[in-house]
Amino acid sequence: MGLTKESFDALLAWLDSDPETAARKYEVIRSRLIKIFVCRGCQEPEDLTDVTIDRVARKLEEIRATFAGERIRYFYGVANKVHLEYLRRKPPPIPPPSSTNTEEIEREYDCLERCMQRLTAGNRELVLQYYQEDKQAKIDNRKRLADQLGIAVNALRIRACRIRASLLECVQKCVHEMAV
Amino acid sequence: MNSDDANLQQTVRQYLLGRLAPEDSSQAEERLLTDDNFYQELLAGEDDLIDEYLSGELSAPEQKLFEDFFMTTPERHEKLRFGRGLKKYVNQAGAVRASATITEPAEPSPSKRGWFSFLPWQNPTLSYSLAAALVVILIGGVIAIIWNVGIRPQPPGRLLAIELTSGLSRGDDQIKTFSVTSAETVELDLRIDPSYDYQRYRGVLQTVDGTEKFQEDGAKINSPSGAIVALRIPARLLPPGSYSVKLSGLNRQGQYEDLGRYSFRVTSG
Repeated sequence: MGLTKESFDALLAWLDSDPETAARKYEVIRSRLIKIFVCRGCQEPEDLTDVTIDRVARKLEEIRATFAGERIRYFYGVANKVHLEYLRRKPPPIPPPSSTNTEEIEREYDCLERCMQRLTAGNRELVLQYYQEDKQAKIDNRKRLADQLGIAVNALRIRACRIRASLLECVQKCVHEMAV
Repeated sequence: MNSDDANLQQTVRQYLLGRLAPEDSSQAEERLLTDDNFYQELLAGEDDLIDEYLSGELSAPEQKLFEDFFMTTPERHEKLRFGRGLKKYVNQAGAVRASATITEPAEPSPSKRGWFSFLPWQNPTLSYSLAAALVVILIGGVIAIIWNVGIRPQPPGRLLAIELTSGLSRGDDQIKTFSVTSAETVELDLRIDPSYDYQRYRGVLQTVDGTEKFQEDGAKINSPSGAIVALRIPARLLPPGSYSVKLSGLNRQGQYEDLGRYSFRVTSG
């Protein structure tokens, strides 16, 4: 059962009195719960997250007056229960790797090329340099690149990770658009 | 990297591979929820694991945990596929840059060169300077365009990926047959034994009479269904006919060992 607008608004208000901050907190909670379910190997991480959020929303009247502390920890407690129930049900079998037929690979690669061209010149260059080489040569290369940019290697790593995430999102969107 | 970063990375890696004790896992998850740095570290850790897996850098126990524990969700399969594509793209761009570097002159760059140093006048008049500046701008512009085109990572064009298995006889029913008319680049994914651990792999494309047409070095790429070496060949080098790729691996003694032969046939349409 999904959330009604009223219960969703009440949930947001519980997260923060400022609507914008509340919306941001909601997104953070949702994305991180999904990640936790993924890390636990759950096949339906988004569904389990929605169930968790629904339950918290329904409990709101009971807990609003008494709950103290970080709201996100309450979500975590509920997520643990939802996960236990998931484990008690017979979880769906792990699907085989999604099809990697030639056409699909081609389509994704076309999209990757397009998305690379949409990056800023600096970010494109960073991706091309950061992901070069393997093993020790990779480590040396990244240290050299971090020195050039005047940042720590780990800061460079996080920067590359963010650009990569944006690329993945772009590719997913592009593949979806090509399919429809 | 400082020791805090190293510890954090290690904790995240253990968590991602399912190696943490349950109470430590819970602590990690609580941090994941409340600590932005930890969450970002987790995302970066996922990328690192995927890249190391694709490069064959994971230890055997880590590889097993990666396949049995880490790779159990569709989201992770998607990330793996994306990581493989990105690796290919970067390798391709790197190869283009490398070839551009080889063709670069050893002299200073054109923009810094004395364009008119060959002329006998050392004290040019104003009119000569203006004329020379105009010529410099024109030539410099043309060179800049050529230069830019030369070193910019070039997309490999329309790609046709074909998976090949070695050791097949040349019986008509067994040889993979395809057309390359719609492709600019053909990627031959040569299936290899996942246990191979050579420094480098070399594929030599030969026609049916043994003439060598193309040679390329590649790296092993791991995937849940096995391991491959990907070779990219310009489609123009593949007119209709029968071909084979001889694959060899560079061992630790610096010698190439024969790993197999991959036959295929290109048709006209």
